[in-house]
Amino acid sequence: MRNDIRERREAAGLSQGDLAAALDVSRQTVNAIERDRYDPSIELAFKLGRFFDCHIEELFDPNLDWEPPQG
Amino acid sequence: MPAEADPSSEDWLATRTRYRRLGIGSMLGGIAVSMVVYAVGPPLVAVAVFWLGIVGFFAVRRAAPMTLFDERDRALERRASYDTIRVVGAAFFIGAPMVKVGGLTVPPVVDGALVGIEATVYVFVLAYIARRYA
Repeated sequence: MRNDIRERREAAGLSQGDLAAALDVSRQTVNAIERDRYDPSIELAFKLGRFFDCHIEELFDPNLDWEPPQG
Repeated sequence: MPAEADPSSEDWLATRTRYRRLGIGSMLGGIAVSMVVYAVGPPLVAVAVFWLGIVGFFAVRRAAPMTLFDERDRALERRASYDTIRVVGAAFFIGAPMVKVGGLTVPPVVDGALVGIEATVYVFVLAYIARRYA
């Protein structure tokens, strides 16, 4: 899923290892998320949101072609 | 503002890598040494070494102060399991009828492999039912 985690991480002056250590995942996992090669679990997505102090929707763009039914 | 990262993250990564290598090395080392011992020594010692390697892996995993295998590792395992059961299932559905019903004569080793494949498919079906209804 497309995201701007790399931009946010770099803006914060953090390495992938720093973020991985903070989230208790591997550096490879952070790299895979940033490169859109792995979609994190909801729990990890919430951790990312909490870490960057924002909502999940601000981090990830699911590019959904779907709207909830009206009424 | 992002949360503060742990200033010792390099140590954390190095420690994690060290524990992972120790655990995986214990398992692979145990397997390798057991094969050597099996070839030259008593089989019972080979089995003991084999199990020692496995126990070592789980001991390291338990002793590690952090998660050694994260959710992406588990996701990769799930995908690999899915690929495996597809291959095994295809071998079962194509191979078993040819041998059991079609009367195809195959070497005993292939016949034995088909029994193992059949057993794997049954285990998968049981595991699926258990997960589905548990």
